[in-house]
Amino acid sequence: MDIADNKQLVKQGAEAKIFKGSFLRKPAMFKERFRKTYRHPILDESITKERMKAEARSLVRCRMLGIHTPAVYSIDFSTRVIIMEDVSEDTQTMRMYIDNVQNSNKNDVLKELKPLMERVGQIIATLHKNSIVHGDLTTSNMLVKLGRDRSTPEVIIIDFGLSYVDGSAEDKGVDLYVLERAFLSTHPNTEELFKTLLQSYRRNYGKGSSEVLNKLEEVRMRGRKRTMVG
Amino acid sequence: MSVTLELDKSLKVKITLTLFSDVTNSKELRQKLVEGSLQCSIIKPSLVLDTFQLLVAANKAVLSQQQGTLKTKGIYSEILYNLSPSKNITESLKTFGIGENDTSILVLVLNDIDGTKVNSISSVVKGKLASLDTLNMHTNEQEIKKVYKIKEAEQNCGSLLGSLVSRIAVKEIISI
Ligand SMILES: Nc1ncnc2c1ncn2[C@@H]1O[C@H](COP(=O)(O)OP(=O)(O)OP(=O)(O)O)[C@@H](O)[C@H]1O
Ligand SMILES: [Mg+2]
Repeated sequence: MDIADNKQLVKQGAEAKIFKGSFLRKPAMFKERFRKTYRHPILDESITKERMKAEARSLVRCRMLGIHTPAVYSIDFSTRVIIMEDVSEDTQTMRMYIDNVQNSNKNDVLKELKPLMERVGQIIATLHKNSIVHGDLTTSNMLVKLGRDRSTPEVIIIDFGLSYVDGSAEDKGVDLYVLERAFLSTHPNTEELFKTLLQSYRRNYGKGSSEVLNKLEEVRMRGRKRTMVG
Repeated sequence: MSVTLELDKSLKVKITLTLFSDVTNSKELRQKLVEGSLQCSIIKPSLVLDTFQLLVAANKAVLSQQQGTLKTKGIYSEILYNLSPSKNITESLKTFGIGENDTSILVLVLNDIDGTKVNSISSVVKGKLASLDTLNMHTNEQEIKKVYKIKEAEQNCGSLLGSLVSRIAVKEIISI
């Protein structure tokens, strides 16, 4: 696949380049993982292949569970490209969405964002209940679809490049911790908001959620200790 | 009446789709496919939601052919196999390919530059040429959801077409 052809670079990440273009006449996103020259070529190839498989698998598994993810159009290991549906129409990253709400003059930011946080908590609970760990939960890897009906925000989850299945309670706790850190550092004064997310997670996860949330607490303590020493 | 569409540019392959209705000799056509005297994929239109679904399956098949990784005997059976979410080849061809009693069929050929392939196939099909625009009259969404195992939850997130092509794209690395 000739990636440069008629495609526009959207993002140059640490692992991959994201291009916007079209595939078989549909708007599409191309995620091309580049070679890491510091790795042995054969090892690099197999790591890339495993990551691509994990990503494509998780995208489709999540969709089956009722979590909105981009549809997968093609996987080509030889060119290291996953082609997926471009869901950017009427969407915004969660990060921008929250920024906008916080910067608007709305006096009740918490109330405004609550339904969204509850939905995210529910989504992560569904992922975790089905043993899927996302691996890179941030507000940039969630897109908000601005539908006509503003009462039910539609959340699309992307970037499953670090995801895996059969996660332990500890893995899930770390998944939440990564989000918590990313969330609180990107969006100031959102402690209350994040609590809403965790409450929704607990409610939707049901049995087994305490184990994960206890792990989250353990991971937080370790994190704190590290910063105190460091 | 046929429609020709291009696969991914780098592959340099075009597919031509022709829809027939009121077909009376499906049994004979099936026999010819088995013998190898008909070179095409004959697909059940009831399981086709959109031409994009065919494009994704055909694109993947041609990519496999060019990379030497076909899983079935040839490119035309590979397209049928790719359309199916199942890894069982026999079952896939049976589900998506022409059945003895089918009265509408969708014929797919590759690189029919001057129309001779479609012409020679048309000459053995006893039925009416139909416009591809009428494809949706043959589509059976209930059946599609059953074959692709699309449950209630999935129907609330994204399009049905997206769900179908995703399964086609990832079929060998996922089990459903
Ligand atoms: N399918 C898609 N539809 C629309 N936009 C997308 C899609 N995939 C990615 N994007 C956009 O591209 C950005 C980067 O994508 P992605 O997170 O998959 O790549 P990444 O290299 O891992 O990025 P990061 O390093 O920020 O995690 C996203 O934040 C989003 O804005
Ligand atoms: Mg990302």
